[in-house]
Amino acid sequence: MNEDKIMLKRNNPNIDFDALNARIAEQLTHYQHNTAIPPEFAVETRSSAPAVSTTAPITSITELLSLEDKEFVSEAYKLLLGRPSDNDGLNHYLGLLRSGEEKSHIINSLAFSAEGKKNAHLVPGRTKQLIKRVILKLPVISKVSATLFSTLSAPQFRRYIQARFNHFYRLGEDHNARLNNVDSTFAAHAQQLDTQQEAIAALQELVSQQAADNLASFSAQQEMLIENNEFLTLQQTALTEHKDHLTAQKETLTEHNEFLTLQQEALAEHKDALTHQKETIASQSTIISQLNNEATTQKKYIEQLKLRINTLENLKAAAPNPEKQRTVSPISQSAEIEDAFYVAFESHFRGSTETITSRLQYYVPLIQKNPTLKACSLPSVDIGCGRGEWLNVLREEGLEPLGIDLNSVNVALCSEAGHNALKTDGLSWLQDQPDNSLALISSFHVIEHLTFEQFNHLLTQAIRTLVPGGMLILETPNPENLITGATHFYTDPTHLHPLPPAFTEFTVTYKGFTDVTIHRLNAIPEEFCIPQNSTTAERCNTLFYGPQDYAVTAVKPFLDN
Amino acid sequence: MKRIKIHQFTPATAVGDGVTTGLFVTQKLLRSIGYESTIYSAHIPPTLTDKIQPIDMLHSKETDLLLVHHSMGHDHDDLITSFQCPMAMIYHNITPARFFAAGTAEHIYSKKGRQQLKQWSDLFIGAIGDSLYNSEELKDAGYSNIITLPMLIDMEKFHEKTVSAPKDWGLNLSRSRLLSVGRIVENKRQHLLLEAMWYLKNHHDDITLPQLVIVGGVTSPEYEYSLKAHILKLGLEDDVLMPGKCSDEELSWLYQNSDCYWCASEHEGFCMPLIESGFFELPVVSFASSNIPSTLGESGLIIEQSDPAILAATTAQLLANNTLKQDLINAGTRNLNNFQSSTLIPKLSAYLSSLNPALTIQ
Repeated sequence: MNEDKIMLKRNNPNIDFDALNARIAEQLTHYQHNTAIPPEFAVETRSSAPAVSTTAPITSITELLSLEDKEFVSEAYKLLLGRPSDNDGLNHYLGLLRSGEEKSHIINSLAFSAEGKKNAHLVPGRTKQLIKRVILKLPVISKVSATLFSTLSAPQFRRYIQARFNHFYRLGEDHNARLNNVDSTFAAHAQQLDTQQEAIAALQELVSQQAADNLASFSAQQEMLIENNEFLTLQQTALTEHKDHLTAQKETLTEHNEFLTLQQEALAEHKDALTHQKETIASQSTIISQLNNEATTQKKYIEQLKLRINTLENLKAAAPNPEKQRTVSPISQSAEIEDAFYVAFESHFRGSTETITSRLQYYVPLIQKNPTLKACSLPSVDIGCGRGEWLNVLREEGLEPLGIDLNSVNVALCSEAGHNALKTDGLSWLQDQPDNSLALISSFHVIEHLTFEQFNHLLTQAIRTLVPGGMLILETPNPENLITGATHFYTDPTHLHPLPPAFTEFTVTYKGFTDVTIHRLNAIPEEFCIPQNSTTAERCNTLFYGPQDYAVTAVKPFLDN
Repeated sequence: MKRIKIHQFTPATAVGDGVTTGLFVTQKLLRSIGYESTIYSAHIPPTLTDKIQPIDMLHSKETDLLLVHHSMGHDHDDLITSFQCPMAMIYHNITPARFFAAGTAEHIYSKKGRQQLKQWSDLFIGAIGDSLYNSEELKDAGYSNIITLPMLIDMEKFHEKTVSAPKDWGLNLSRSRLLSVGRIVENKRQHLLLEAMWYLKNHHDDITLPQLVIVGGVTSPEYEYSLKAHILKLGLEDDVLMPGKCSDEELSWLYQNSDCYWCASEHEGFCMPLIESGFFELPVVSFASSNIPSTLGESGLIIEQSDPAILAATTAQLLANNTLKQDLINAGTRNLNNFQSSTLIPKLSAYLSSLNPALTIQ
């Protein structure tokens, strides 16, 4: 063993490894000088007998020949090739040996193999021994040679025989040792058997005694009890295990439960926060919709204001006389025209009470459709109520009519019919009424008597005094019928000028009314028209025989909403 | 303040198993640093259900770091790839497949475990080897941010053990003892110990021959039979005892009443008895293989060649030299420090912070 070879890892600075390694190396050298080495470790199965092995290595072919079977082949490898046998080689040569091949043949084939020749130095005098064995095989001289060799090699042969004897002796010794072991085991077993026999005898005695005491039933009961007891013990063990397991599970569940409670609390908090946010959003969306409405209203106002500004600017530009009277004059009937004259005039040209009443039926569904009129219980005023035909209609519809007329005869007629009627100027009267105090303002065939300023003033006061949702009805001759516009209109000397429907519609819309609708009424009956057989006839019928009157209906909007 | 969650996962747990002990040791360390830490597994024995949670309970999205323990291969690949949190590997080594017969479950899962280790390297932001040897393997498998932290031993367990002398083993109390603990299986190479005993018996007049006690359950009956046959061939019938498995109490007695611990193993992922020897002030002589030098550190005498003659010569030196013996006892005690919480906590804490500064406990 080389002393410089590092035997121990230098893993600890407190230990002097140089000195220690030197001492170990010295020890190893001492081991080497002593030729004995431990036998090789071999993995063995229980079925294989322990190998009988030599304690000293084989050093000559003679010694080798004393070995048998597996040991012979293994040792032949070591001696002749200087290495342990490989599995294939071992099996090959074992096969040859077991089929009757001579050992010398196997030695030759190993010794004269390429590897064997290389390792010739391992056995001093090997070649000599081998040549001898080759000569012994030669046919002619073999017998002579054999005699010669046997004489010459008597001592070696003796040694061989001795080795064989030695081998058999060792085998015998080994077997003896084994037999001794077996003997002692037998002896021990025999002793045990004696003891057991004694015990059995004692037991037999006991059993017979117990049998005398009616043991059979007793032992049966006992067995049952033991079984029960075992069963109970098993159950108890199982229950204890279950209990432990359940306790562990319970703890885990408790932990989970706590965790869940915490999560639940957190969730509740989140829910509250969400509800609060939802409420905030709802109130904000209400505010937004209010703001939207307000914006729409404001937009309308702004549009109206723009229109007004335009109109005013136009008026200003068109006004030639800066000293033009700015105050609005009342609807005054010309002083020269007597009340009686006008009543007579009207009944002559406007038509009988029945005719008028039947014509007014057109408006009944419009009134019925408006939800505000009945609900608000405010008065419905008719400016220029005449003989009170409309007041009758209104009363029949359950409203509270009030007639206003400048003509004292008409007012008297209405009063007689049981209506509230006032002889006063309609514009002045309206001006004195509080805001939102009237359900309906109607005026049939009045606005054609008014200047534009008066008409404008009427609309201003109407939109102020009407309740939101309240209704405005204005009826006037329709100049789209050219005969009406050119002729009939001027039959009344107090008419100022015809009002085309488009103008009236525009003005009413401009003043802020909604649902502004034109109703064309009282067309000439068909029998008076040109027969409808051509486009020309159709057009002429429209222009000459179309509706003679029209009405504008409108509603005061719910601006504050 | 929300606590940082560093949990652990291992596919299977077992009572007394090395990896499971490591899980508990690591949990103790994490909790003492201040982390919230739970152990999850896909297989939990009934007696551990109070300490380990089923893996289904893990909320990986809310986990700041998951430490995944890996040893033998397993079939939970899908689970590993499904976790939605950063992961770090803790590697415990795998006994190589060549130590198992082809076609056995051990052979297959040993191979699979090494394939999995390589395959997953990209999934982990860091890796902890429980020994230098294991850290080297992690490096070869392509892991980054590797640290060696032997989070394996619960020192308190040693204190709990009571001591009682083994009975009916044929112990000769007037002789001193050599101890070796481990399963009876080919890769532990106990036959080399027998041969070393032969040298001590046949070449040493300078020392009184101790008895060799080889403790451990049999996993290879054929090898056990061969060892017993070898004992007969070597003429060591009165000098070697193979009592099989023994109780903790008996083992404690052996550690406390032996003169030297022997290890001839060809492969050890860690080798707990070497640490236990350190704890019980028992000097170690071992062959240098696999992780053994790393586990022993400065302790023990480590022989480079697996030669029983050198083992015998070295042990003879040790038995005859009290100064050397004391040096080895002192080194063994020092080596224990590497496995103490007080050593591991600052290292673990710094490592976790280096993986992700957000894991730092203020």
